[in-house]
Amino acid sequence: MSLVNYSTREITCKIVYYGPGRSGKTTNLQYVHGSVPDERKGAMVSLATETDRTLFFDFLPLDLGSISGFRTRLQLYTVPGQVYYNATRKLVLRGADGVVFVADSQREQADENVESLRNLHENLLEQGFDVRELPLVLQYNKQDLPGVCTAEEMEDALNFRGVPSFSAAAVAGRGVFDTLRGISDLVLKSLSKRFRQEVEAGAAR
Amino acid sequence: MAPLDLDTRFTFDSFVVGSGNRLTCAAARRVAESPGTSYNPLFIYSASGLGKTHLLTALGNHARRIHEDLAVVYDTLDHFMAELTAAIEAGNRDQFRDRLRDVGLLLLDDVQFLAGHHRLQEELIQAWDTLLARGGQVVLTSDRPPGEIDGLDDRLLSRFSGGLIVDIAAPEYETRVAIVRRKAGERGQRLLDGVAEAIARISFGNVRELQGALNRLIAIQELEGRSVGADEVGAVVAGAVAPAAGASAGEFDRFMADIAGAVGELATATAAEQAIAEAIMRWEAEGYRTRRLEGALAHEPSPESVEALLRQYEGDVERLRTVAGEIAAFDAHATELARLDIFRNPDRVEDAQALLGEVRERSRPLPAPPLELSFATLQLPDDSLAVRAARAASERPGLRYNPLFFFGPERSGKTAILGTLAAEIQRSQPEMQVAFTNGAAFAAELIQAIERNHVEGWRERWRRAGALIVDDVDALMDTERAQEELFHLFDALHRGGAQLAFGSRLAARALAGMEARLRSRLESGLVVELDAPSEVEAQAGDALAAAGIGGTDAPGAAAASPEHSGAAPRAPAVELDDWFLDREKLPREWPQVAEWLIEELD
Repeated sequence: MSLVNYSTREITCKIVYYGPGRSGKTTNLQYVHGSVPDERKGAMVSLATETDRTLFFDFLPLDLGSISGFRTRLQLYTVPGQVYYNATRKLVLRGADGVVFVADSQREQADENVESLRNLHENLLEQGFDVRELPLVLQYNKQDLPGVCTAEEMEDALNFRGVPSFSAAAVAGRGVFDTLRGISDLVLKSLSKRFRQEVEAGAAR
Repeated sequence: MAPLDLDTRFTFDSFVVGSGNRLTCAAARRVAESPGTSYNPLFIYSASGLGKTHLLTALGNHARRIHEDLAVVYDTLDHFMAELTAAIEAGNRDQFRDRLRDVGLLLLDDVQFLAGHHRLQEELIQAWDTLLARGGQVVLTSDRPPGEIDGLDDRLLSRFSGGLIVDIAAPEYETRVAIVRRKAGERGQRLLDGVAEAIARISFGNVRELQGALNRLIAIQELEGRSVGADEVGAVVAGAVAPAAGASAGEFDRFMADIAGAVGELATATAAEQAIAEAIMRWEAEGYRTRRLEGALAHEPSPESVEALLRQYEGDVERLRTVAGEIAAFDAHATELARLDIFRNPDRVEDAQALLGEVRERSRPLPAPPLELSFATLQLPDDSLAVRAARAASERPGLRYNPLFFFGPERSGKTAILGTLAAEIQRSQPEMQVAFTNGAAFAAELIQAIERNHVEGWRERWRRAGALIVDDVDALMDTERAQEELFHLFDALHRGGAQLAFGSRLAARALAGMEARLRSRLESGLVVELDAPSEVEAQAGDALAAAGIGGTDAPGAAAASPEHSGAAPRAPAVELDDWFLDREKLPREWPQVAEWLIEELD
């Protein structure tokens, strides 16, 4: 659960990487994990099957250190993409502050992308999230593969809400940090807005 | 001790303020301007090369400029330790301590090196307590927060954490540009357009490395006599940058730099808001309500209004503390009051001050009995009902005649007998609070309490009485509130077994304008009528006048006191015929005269 604690001066944000199976969610996290200096990251927890499919979820805690006097932590999670792990996905989504939807740009995966995005909305609604308010970015992954949909095509197919989107080739690391930066920015802005509302509500009480 | 010199080049003016160090810089300025008052200690931590020492030195220089008499001592922990070791070796430890004693502002750099030095920590605790007890200010720097200094004594940890802990974050891009331009300017160097930006864009671990890169660029400009272009920056400063752990680490740093902006915005959008948020954190941590400050956050405060707001708030907290301290000092019961929510809420200063008034009122001593009076000096016949009743009441207060009601004309000895009763009770029971007053004074006090809005405290004060003796209670005739108060006071004290005694010119039932319920209570015990006006009243009058208590009987006596001063009125002035006064010879009272049979002799 996200937290802006003024007395302990801590900010903690939970970001969930969502998307169809094999779209590259874990790869995103692995790249981030590999790029972060040791003192900034906790152990990456990954529960995968023998074929590298995420069985449960991946978890990567990032300690960004003290920023403007606030101890800032990001918690990155991935969900298992396969349709039959929906209970786990719901569990991981709980308390999320932001979602990165990692789409597979390969043409044959178009339906899976749409289905997964629909599943995301369904799960968010079921958990009482206001989907219009929850920070969300899209990542069009595997843009380095031949014959994939262009970013424009992906945009047309998936981005009906007009959220920020990023082209990526997560295996090579391209676009991974752009995506993370994009979602972090949205999450922090939304926290800031919420904090202000709380303060105003507090003042009005 | 021989402290290190402050480097005068390091000032606040030469310190580039950005979002990563704004709070810390503000706190340092504040401490320099009013050492020992706001953040004590001020604990500054950051990774190396971000300006801790610069800020610490600037603080010292600024404080020295403002407060000429302030003894400012700057030292690194290392040097401090060496001095201490030398002092102990030379057997001068006390001298070392003495020198610390006069320090008004102690600036101690790099305290993380305290780790494991138990002896030094012990010394520091002692020096610390002496310094703070004398109102001194301590500022510390470290490369990590106090909690992360290994092997730090718990006592030091709590002392380090007792003030304000602030950090300096790595400067963001814009601040880096500003630093590069400032430093180049200080060196008299002109940089081509885009050069400062190009240097700032390179990921450096800290400002020192940034400066190193700039130095290299300046050296090339000077040696080769040409200006380095923006496109050359990468190649020129390459040697200055420690090879990063692969390109990916740089990627993360850039990510961090970008995120810093967003977090900074979240933390506080403007300096004014930051100041308020900081104050909220501080006062919340100290247990004070901060609703006023939170309210201000919602209305985009201007820097001026924030300053006034914070000053006002801090002033109110200070007043609350003073009031709470004063109340706590009064009595044990009142320390409970000091913990009330009122004293944690700066919006309720007035309530707290009113409460202090109440407690003051409550704790005021009750009017004391005239202790110079005693049965021995009382000039009323020992066997008179009045004296016998008073004696009985003084021996067992509250258990025999309660209440006692004396009435009689002026100068009949009411004040003397009441005063004596009060004094005797007080003498036999020194612990008891014996209140001796008269109706007029009682009513006047009540009016004063109402004026000051301290009626509650006034009431509680009177209810402490173990004995209440009120002369001239008839003065309360036609008063409403005072009668009511006396009525309730009567009931409360009577229930508690306190001795009550009253004096009046008229019999209780003749007190027109006195409420029936009070009247009936006054005469519910023993009623004694005093008749013959006597010299005795003058005696009491003297004593009461001396004690500053005047009854309606007293003024005459007081006015007459010059003539009656000394032992004259007390010694029998006229030699009376003893035989005539012999009790055995002369019945003073003839009880049931009607039943006496008088035989007529032939």
